[in-house]
Amino acid sequence: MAETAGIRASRPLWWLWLALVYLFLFAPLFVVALLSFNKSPYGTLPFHWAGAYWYHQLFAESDLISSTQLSVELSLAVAAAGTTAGTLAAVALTRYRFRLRGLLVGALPLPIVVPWLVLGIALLLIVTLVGLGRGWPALFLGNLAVVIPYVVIIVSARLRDMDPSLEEASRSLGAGQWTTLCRVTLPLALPGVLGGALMAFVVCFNNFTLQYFLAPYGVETLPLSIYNLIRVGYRPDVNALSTILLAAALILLFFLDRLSAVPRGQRL
Amino acid sequence: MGRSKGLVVAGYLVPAYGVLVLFVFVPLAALLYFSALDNMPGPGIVAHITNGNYTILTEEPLYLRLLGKSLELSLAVTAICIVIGWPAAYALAKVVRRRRNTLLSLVVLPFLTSFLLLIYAMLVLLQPSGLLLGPLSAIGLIGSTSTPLYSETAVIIMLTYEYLPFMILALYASLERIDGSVVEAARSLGASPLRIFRTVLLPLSLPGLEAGLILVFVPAAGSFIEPQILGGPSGLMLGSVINDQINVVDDWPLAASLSFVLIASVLILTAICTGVLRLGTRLATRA
Repeated sequence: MAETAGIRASRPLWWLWLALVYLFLFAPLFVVALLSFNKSPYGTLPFHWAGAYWYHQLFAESDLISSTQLSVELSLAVAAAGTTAGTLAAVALTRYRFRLRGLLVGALPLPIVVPWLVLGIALLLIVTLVGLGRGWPALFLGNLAVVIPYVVIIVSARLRDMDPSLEEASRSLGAGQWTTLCRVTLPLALPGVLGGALMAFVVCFNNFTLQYFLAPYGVETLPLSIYNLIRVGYRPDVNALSTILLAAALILLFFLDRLSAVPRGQRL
Repeated sequence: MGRSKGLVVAGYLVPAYGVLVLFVFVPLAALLYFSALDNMPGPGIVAHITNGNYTILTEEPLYLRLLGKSLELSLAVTAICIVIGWPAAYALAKVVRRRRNTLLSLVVLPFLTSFLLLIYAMLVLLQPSGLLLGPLSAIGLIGSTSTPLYSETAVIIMLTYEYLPFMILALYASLERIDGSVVEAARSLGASPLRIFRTVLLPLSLPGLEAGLILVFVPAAGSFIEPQILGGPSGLMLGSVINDQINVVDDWPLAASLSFVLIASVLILTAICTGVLRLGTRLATRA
């Protein structure tokens, strides 16, 4: 891209603005990470190094390990099912032309955009009506519905960027639909599929709202545990928990980036 | 398209769209049905059709007032996100050259952590004697106990913090597509920076503005945990009351009618705002 003289002159101003925006986005998280190593239980200064004290406290006092385990199991199941269904849909939406395609693509963002409070309540009402009620089936299906659009969008982006001639070659050499899909399309789309799966896992893992309305009574997934902790107010051990989860998010981001599955406002 | 090919396409689509229809579209449509019942149907409970869950909106002014406030707050948040996010997205798309991908990925980072942690982080940052406000009060800029916490301001700050990344990404997607030579042509023909913004950049970023409006305004209007934790009594939003109908009061049909009214008003307002954005952009181009 040719750089214009105007941009060159105003470059420091643009960078200043960006720096302020990133400061706003990261200062709160940074402060929490810093305070997780501060001795004071009230987050007050001066800063005294506490080492891993609050991290020990976190695991000594709360039942976070079992709720994390529940969250991981739920998210793995949802991500596996969501990736399968979403990848197949992405193949259909990018490799075939048919009526209703526009409508199906247009409907995809709805589960992401609709306030999850409303979706959670709507799901709770309907599973109660059919006699299912709050529980694992409702939790699984509700989260599945929300992660599918993410998978479709990420996998479609990859499928669109792929060279279609390889699939054409496979077909013209006599491979059937299914063979071409399994032996050519999916292996080539693998980074996108993995990215979609990772994204599905993260979205389900963090989806407090749906879990709040659909989890079986008495069962705490990690977001529900966090909710119960932060309702109390300032807690030094929650600082430690936030820092751990932030570090996990950074690692995830690294992998998502490698799979070029970081959402950047892609369209279908 | 042959019949067998049609079957293949249908087979690919059914798992995903079956789930979406059964667990998103049908439940959302069923809200309307539940909102017209006088009781939650169940074993031994017969529900009757009533309009009571809607007439209560006119009898009890609290609900409409909170609806108004939810819409007002989330519109304000959307506007703030546009004002902060547009220059940031422009800088990312057209000014930054090296490290662009790293910077873009970092925008997504807060989204990968639980939004509960973002709420908690904001709660910590805004503590009266915390790391930010403590030093400010020590040098006498603000009172020793003053904090925006437990007010509307705290909710606005929080929702901006939470949704700004979505606005930046939406605007980035449209700004990145703008061909630099178009801007260069305008400049070499003597257009001022303001004029280039009005007549070239703003109209070309309209799709991003529209997408950002939907990605920020719609979910923000349904917030319920942010006001509950940071908003105090004056920062209450309709979402918190809807949540109470489910988890405290146990009046599920009223929760359904309030949810339906919320969604309907959000949709109408989104359509109006999209129109205003388009009109405003056109006027700016001509002026």
